[in-house]
Amino acid sequence: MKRDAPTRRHGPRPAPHPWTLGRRVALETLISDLSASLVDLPTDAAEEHIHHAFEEMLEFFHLDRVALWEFSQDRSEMVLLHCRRTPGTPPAPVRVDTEDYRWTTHQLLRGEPIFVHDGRNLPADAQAVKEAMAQQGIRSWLALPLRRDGVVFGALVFVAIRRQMRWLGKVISRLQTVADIFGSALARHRAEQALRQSEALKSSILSSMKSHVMVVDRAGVIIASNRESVKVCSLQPCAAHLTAGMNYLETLRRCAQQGDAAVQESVRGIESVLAGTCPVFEIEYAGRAAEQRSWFAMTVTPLTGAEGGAVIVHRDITARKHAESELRESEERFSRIADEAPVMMWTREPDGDVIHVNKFGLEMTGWRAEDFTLPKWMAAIHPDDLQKNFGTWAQAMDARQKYTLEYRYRHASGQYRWLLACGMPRYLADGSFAGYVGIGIDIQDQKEAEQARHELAGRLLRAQEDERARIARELHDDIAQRLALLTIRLRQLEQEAAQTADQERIAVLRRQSKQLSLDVSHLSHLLHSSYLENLGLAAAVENQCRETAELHHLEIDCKVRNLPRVLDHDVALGLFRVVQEALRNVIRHSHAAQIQVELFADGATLHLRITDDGVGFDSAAPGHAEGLGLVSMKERLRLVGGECTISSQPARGTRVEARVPLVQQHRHAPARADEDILEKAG
Amino acid sequence: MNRHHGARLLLADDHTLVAEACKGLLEPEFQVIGIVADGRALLRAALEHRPDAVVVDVGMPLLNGLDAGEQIKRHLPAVKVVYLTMEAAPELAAEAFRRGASGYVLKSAAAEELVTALRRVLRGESYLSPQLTKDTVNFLIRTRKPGLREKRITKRQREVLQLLAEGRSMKEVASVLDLKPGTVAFHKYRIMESLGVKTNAELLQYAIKQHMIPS
Repeated sequence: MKRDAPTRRHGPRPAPHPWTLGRRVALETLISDLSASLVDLPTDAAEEHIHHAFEEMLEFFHLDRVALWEFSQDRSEMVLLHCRRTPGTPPAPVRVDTEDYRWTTHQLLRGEPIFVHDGRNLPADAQAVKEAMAQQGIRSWLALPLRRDGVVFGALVFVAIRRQMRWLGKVISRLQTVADIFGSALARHRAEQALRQSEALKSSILSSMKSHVMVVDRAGVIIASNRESVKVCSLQPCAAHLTAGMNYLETLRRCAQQGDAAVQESVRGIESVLAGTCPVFEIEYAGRAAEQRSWFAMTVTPLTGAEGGAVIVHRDITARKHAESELRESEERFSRIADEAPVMMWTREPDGDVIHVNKFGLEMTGWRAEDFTLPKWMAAIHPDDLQKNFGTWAQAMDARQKYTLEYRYRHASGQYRWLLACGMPRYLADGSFAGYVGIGIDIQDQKEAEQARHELAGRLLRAQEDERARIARELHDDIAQRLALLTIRLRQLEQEAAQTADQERIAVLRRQSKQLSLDVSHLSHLLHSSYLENLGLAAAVENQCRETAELHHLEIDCKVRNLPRVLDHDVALGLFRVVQEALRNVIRHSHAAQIQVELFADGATLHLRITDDGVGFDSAAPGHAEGLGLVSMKERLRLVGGECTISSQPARGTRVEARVPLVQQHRHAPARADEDILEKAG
Repeated sequence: MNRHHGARLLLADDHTLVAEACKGLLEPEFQVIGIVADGRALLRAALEHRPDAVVVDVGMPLLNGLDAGEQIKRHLPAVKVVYLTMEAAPELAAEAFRRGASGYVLKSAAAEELVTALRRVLRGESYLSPQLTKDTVNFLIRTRKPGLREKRITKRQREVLQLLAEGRSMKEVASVLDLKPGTVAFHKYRIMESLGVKTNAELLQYAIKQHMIPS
């Protein structure tokens, strides 16, 4: 770029006014006048002073327009700030795009003045300037950079239209001085404006704060305060106007002599913060108003800086204090109730190991309070129960759901005892999770009673089965055989009889005896199915279905599949009895035409399902299902660890479902006689 | 009179009175050459006397009727086996026929049916008491997989198992089968291993299901 060559060519052309000594003195006088009026540019009359200075310069140099421009923040345009012009002179544009005047902008930002005597000495890339000159009829112009801290932020531009100007180097350098005066005046003016705005903002923030904020100097004298008068309390002294200039610390010291502990402590706190020995001081104190207890918190933080001092903030914390004391009271009340309650109560923090247990809980378990931690408690749960329940438990806790579990734990005595444990997630008022709270009830006695009842029921059922089997065997092996024998003998007698009449009489007896033998056989079969023992569950169930179907003219679809080869006898018997009972119910009550019996093993469980299309009943109605032999079915299945459900709706048929685990975890006393039957080795 | 008049029969029933009565029932037409009270005696007598037919009760000590009948058919295929039993289970009848039986007669109906059954059987036909539905038994013979007939233990093991299940001591079993007690113990161990059973109770159940002993 050939930027220097044209601008620095100082041609010796005649000036309109000869640069006489008198004129030079006049210029210096003008400059010092301008300086005087601009150095202490009063904020509220800045515009007036600037315009006056412009007028002076227009007159002195016989110019047509003086304008002050400022670059925008991103330097994309120049904005017109002030402009004065002679009558008839076109106004300066309000803003110009620096992109259009790249050469001019570049010169100015480099801090170079631009002086144009006429359009001819402009470089080729200043086309836009030439056009603007032609358009406005400008003959000569001079642009001087405005600087603030060495950075160009605008320009002072002189324009001549009526005549051509020859810018002399000496004049330019003096005018640059004028530009510098403008620049610094303007910069100062701007800074003052910004400061005033920020002060206004700060004071509006301060006055809008709910807290009482004071700034004190090193001696405790108030420099600034956002309240003139505040709530009456011990630390915000009675009837005192906390205005700037008053010594707050001194006031407090006087108050402290009355013996108020909080005030005395506060004095010490403020002193130590002001002395720099304490980074921050905080105190909560009660207000003086007797009828409504109010609470405040005072915070004293040091001011950084050479002067020192501190910021003292008084906050009203009455609402928080009330909430806290209410919570404390309610927790104390709860804790009192919990301790007296005749049930174990406990709480656990979120993710905490410590379990807080009430007095009763400690007495009940015999445990010491310090031993109540989650790991120790889990270690005390019976391994079988832990394994069985752990999944449910962990799942509930992960999902923060409530749970109810029954398990055995080791009492301090070393004995396992049954416990019913309920846990519930606890949430604070703000919705945050606060761990678990729950109760524990010792159900050892109930469990023992239940166990005893089941054992009794089991023994009764087994005794009943044994007795039935004994009678059935007696009938089958003895009575039925003897009847068969009688029949055979009658047959022989019949053949030996001489008289036809005798033969007929004997034949009647023989037929009766045969029927009797068959009936006894059938009765034996009903009492105790030899099918089950001879042929297994599958055959016994199939046979039962077949016989029932034939006898009652029903359709029974019997599907047995996938049964294990060896089946526990009690399991087989239990399921067989359920089939018998269910089929009996169908015949008696349901008027079904079709029955489906399914028996299959699925993994470790045996499933039995008996479905009919009969009249059904409302299985939700209390007492109804119990009447249908459900109790005995349930008891039978419970003996082998299984369960049984009946579901039905009026006119929708009935479904009996039984499930029995194939692998027995725990069995009540097995028949020892059976166990030993093959152990008679001599 | 048919051509089997005078056919030679062996009767096997632990209810000896029933067996005696049956003899009276059959004598006019057939020749009863012996009555035995257990499966082993039946085997010995059958091998010795080579009868035309045997009438066997299903539940018998030492060796049950089903196993005894099966062994007779294996050694003497010409001998007809007729079961005479209190058991009216179609499955049991089906199992009997699968093992080579020719007749299955309920004891209650013996007076009327036994003679007829033997006549038919000796003619080469089969006989089933009408109290049992023929269709059902046929269906069972066809469909029931040989689940009841476990192949996994040997003949000798079956014999040992039945005797043990009857409550005999290892010494007694050894004496019946003419074995050393240690061999019996070995057989028992092998049986439990083959069947995959662990307790005596399971072993007993298996024996019951196999009709080795009555329930």
